[in-house]
Amino acid sequence: MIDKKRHKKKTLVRSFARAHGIFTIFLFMFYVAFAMLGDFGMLAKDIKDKYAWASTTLSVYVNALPDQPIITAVSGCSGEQAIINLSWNATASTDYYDILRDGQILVSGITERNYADSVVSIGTSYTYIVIAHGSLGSVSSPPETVIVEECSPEPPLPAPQCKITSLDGEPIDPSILITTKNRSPKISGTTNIENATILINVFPGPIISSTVNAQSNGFWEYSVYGSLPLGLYTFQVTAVDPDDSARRVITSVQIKIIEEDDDDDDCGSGKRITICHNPGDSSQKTIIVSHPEVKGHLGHGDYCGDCNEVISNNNEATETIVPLEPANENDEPGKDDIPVDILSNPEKNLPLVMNVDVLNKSKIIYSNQSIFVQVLLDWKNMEPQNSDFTYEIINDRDQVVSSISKSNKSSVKSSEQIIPLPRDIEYGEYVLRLRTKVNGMYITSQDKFIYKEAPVVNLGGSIMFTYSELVSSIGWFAIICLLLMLVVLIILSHEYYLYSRSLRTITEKGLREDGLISKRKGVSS
Amino acid sequence: MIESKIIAILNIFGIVLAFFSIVYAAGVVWRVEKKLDISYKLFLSAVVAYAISLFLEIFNGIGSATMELYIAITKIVFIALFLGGILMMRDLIRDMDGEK
Repeated sequence: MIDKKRHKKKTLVRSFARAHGIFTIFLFMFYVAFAMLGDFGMLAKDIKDKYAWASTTLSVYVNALPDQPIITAVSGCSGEQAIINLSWNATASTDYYDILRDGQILVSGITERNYADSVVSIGTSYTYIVIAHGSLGSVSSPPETVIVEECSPEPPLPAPQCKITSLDGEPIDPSILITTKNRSPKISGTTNIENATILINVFPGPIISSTVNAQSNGFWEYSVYGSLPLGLYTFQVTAVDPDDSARRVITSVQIKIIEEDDDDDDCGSGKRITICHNPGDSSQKTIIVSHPEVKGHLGHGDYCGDCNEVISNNNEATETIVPLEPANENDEPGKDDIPVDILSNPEKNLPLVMNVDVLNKSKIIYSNQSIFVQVLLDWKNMEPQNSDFTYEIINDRDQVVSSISKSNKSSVKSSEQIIPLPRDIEYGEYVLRLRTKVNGMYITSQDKFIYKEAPVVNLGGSIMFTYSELVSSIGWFAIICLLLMLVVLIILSHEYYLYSRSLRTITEKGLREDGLISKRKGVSS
Repeated sequence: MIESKIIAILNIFGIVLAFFSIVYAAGVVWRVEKKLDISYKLFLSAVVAYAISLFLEIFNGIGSATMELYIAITKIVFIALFLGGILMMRDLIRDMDGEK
């Protein structure tokens, strides 16, 4: 009997608790929904008030004159409209504010602590005063004077700059003649044009025209295709803004390529030495000087040998560097007239400007992937012609690791190509170079890419694991997977146990209802 | 970098939760019959499809277009099965309410 009463009481308490819980949740949802329909500020104020009521804070307010406001006036822009932004500090005992401009009332009765004055003239000076009004009087701020500045919609882009900074990794001064023994010189530099297209022309011959893409920070690097014959070359670099082709800058450097065993101070042992005087200049001519005079001539940029003589390279070729043929007199256009035209307008006077761009995401190629390339051909001074193009993949040691030739139809100006990568190359940085030969000129374009091992697991947020990384920490992965599987198995077993028990309970309930068995302890009815 | 770690932790947490959902849905499938059983079987299949899509995302390190297609398909399968489960449950409730 007592048990029954206790059970009844417990049930009543439970019912009350449940009803109370449901009612509370309903009220809370109604409260939040009401605030959402109205204004969240109201909810915030209500909670704040409730909090204030709950706390025992006692505030004593003493009325006095308002504090002095301190005004800040700044010239700003609202779109292209010049404005003066006024703001001031909060002041106690203040009912409202007035703003005076040059001694005359501008706004009256505002309670905010900022104001934008849009009726202003550019270049004019205005003096502002804020007056704080309270029940016991008014206090003015010190005057603040500001001159309205002009609003330009966008700040103008800086003047384009491009600088050649190094040759074969060594810093150089491009204003003086540079001497090198490397027949495939690598130059690098910087530009202030973001993602600039760098057009590089090497002349007088063999004329090489190349395009490379600068990095977003402006750094660019270019390695001459093939092995240049000995002689003096001008490397003309044009940085072009990809968004505005009119925004461009041209710079150049003169590089003299000498024999490995050449000595700058000695052009031979003869008494009479042939010198190319003032190379690259209009006064360029071949002169013969006596041996003692040689050093002086070399000092101001002259070099040994005939100006018109280009020494062919027969013994420097390696399996990776192609010896370039000297410019042929029969080639059109000839070596004598091209450089001048290129100097004046390199992009216009070249027969072909091409650009190769690696399209793979972030220029990263994973193992077993191919390179997706976009090729843009711009035939400038001649009819488009069918040409053979060679795609070369060059490693960081300037070795050609793969070379593929493809022909291009004359009508195609833009094409996407798939270039397979050899399976056995090392992971690292590579250069994809596209080259062709038009009218005796070598036209090349190159883009960089990174060859990486493909990640097997990508946990998201650029956290990736390659197969080798997985194998190297296989123990941890195995432990984590086993733990996860164990947890799942335990939960699954528990679920199956509950299912079996429920089956037994249901069966026993049926049997008991049929009067076949009596009630068992631990089995719910 | 902190965002990368949070994304990775959330992805792992998602897989663990998907496992738990599979187990508990299977537990319900064992217990019930008829429409409720079918409904939970659909929910179970939906969660399995979702777990597969999570796994495919994790093992798609190189962002393969084919894998992305499979991920999209498994997500569609997930939502279709989930919808099927909801409709089945709706029918059951309507039956219980005596609607025709």
